[in-house]
Amino acid sequence: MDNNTLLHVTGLKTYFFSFAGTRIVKAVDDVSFDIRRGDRLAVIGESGCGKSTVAASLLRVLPPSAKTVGGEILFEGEDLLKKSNREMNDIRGRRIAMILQDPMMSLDPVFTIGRQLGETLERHTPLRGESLLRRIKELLTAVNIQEPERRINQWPHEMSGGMRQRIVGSIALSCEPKLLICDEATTNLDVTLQLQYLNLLKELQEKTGVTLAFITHNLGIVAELCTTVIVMYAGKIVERAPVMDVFDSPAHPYTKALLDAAFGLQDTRKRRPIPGEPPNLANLPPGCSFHPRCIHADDRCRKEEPPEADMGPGRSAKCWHPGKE
Amino acid sequence: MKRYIIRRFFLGIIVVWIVSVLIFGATRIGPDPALMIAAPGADEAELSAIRDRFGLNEPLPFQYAIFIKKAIQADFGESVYYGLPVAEILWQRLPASLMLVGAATLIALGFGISAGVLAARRRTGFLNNFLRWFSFLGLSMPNFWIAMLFILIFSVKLQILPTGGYGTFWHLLMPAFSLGWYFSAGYTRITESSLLQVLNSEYIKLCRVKGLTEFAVVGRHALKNALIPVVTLAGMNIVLMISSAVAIEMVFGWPGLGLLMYHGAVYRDFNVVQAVILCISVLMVFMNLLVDILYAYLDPRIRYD
Repeated sequence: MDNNTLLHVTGLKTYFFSFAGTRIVKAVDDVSFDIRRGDRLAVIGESGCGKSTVAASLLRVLPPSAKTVGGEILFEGEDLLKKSNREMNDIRGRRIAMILQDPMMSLDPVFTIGRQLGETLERHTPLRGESLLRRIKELLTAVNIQEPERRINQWPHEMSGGMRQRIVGSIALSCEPKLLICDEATTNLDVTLQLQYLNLLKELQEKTGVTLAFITHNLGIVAELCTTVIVMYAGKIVERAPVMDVFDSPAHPYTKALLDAAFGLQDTRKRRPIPGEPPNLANLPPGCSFHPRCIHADDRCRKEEPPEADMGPGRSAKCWHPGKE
Repeated sequence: MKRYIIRRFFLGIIVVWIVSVLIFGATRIGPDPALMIAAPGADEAELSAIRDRFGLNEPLPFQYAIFIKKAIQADFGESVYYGLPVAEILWQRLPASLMLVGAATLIALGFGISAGVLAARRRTGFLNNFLRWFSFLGLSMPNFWIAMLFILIFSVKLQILPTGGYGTFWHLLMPAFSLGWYFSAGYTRITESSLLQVLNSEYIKLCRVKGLTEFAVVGRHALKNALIPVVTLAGMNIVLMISSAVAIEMVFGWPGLGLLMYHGAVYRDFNVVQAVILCISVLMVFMNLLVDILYAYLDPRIRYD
């Protein structure tokens, strides 16, 4: 692992255990990927394919029913899975920050904006009193919140959705993290706000050099913003590639299907939904998980799980027929 | 907020006034109070002397006007039974009542909230089962029954607490616990369910992601949100508690307003009944206002103006 790699994940397995452990849902199954410093990574896939569970596993904020059962998460050379919860608390919010998806719900309704920003800073930095206040105002100004003096004492319900989302962004960036994970951070914003917000994030990245990881099913964001793409399906990574390659020549039939479903916005005749639905993670089909929905599926796809086929620099696809038209 | 408080204050006065009309009417509906006050077999001359003394000969609206005029000056007339000014008795009894209801509320809230937090944090295990049974029992048993069980166990069998009366801390224990247990069960349940809901929320997840300690996440953020419905319940419970206290005060001979009202009703001491109910209604209006203010403090989304 060279110094340019910020995060190095190998063989990550996070399972959900329900009904007293009798049912195991492999939400993330043997996932490996790297994030280089300064990258803008996109993790895409349909709902329920394990994207958000990857994010929660990185920060170790999984719900009680889920557990990371294997793998290694090296962040700046330190294995996060070996850290105590107390040590993780020093990393969360300071070195790895996260923006959650619902701007309406992710601020505590009974604390003022200033307090919620301030407590993150108090937790991770020695700033107190006047200098703390100055830093809070600075942060609010950085995310284009007007009149920060007044806003500090306001409550979340007094702000619009877009403002709340920007405040959540300022909380995430307050301690100058190395990595910022945006978990479907713009899903609940309307389209004009999404664009504004993403441009803001890009601008902030240029200023602070934070590495960004977007978890999204919005391919527009990916095309607009990201440098590298990881495609997940049924808990596994099925394709990884630089962003232009994904859009020019998707290697995995699932990626191709995702693109077909999303683009054609201009030409609705070209747009076509992916047939069927994502498989039940508790009961995966044998062979390649995607074969029931795949137009290229043959006998081998139904029986044997495909390996990751190397497709050139920084590219691979987990498919028996990569790149087949 | 200030306007709201002033408005509520005046509404409270109207409520107390309506209560005063109702209670004045209720004490006059029954048979002539003079018959109850006079010795058996008293003749008409004695009865009319009593009526004169308590102002019962005047027409009702006139009697009411005098009652209100004096009540505003904190003069509730003379107790028929005790032969003392009612206001004086009221002042004697009020501290005992406030002490009982206050202690029971503290016990109910303190125990109920902490048990609710424990139950929500730890869904299994011995402690949780114990708490479940404890609140189940508290909800199921009538408080006077609990009171009698306490007397049986702690006074008769173990002989460590006095059976009744008033004066020391030890006298307060059993009445306060038998009154508080029932209410603590409600607080446990509502704290548990609302805390569970809050702990699953997006903003608690954000607190965790920010790197706050577990103590700050639960104790500061989750609890403040989860307590909002608890305060709502507490506001309603104050009303219930004051009326439940009547039974507890009787069992333990606790010299509070409840016992005073009970005796007043039994002896048809109408001045006492009027005064106690008026006093309780003032207390309730005041407590409800207090709860509303607390509510606005806890939840900034609530602005009454």
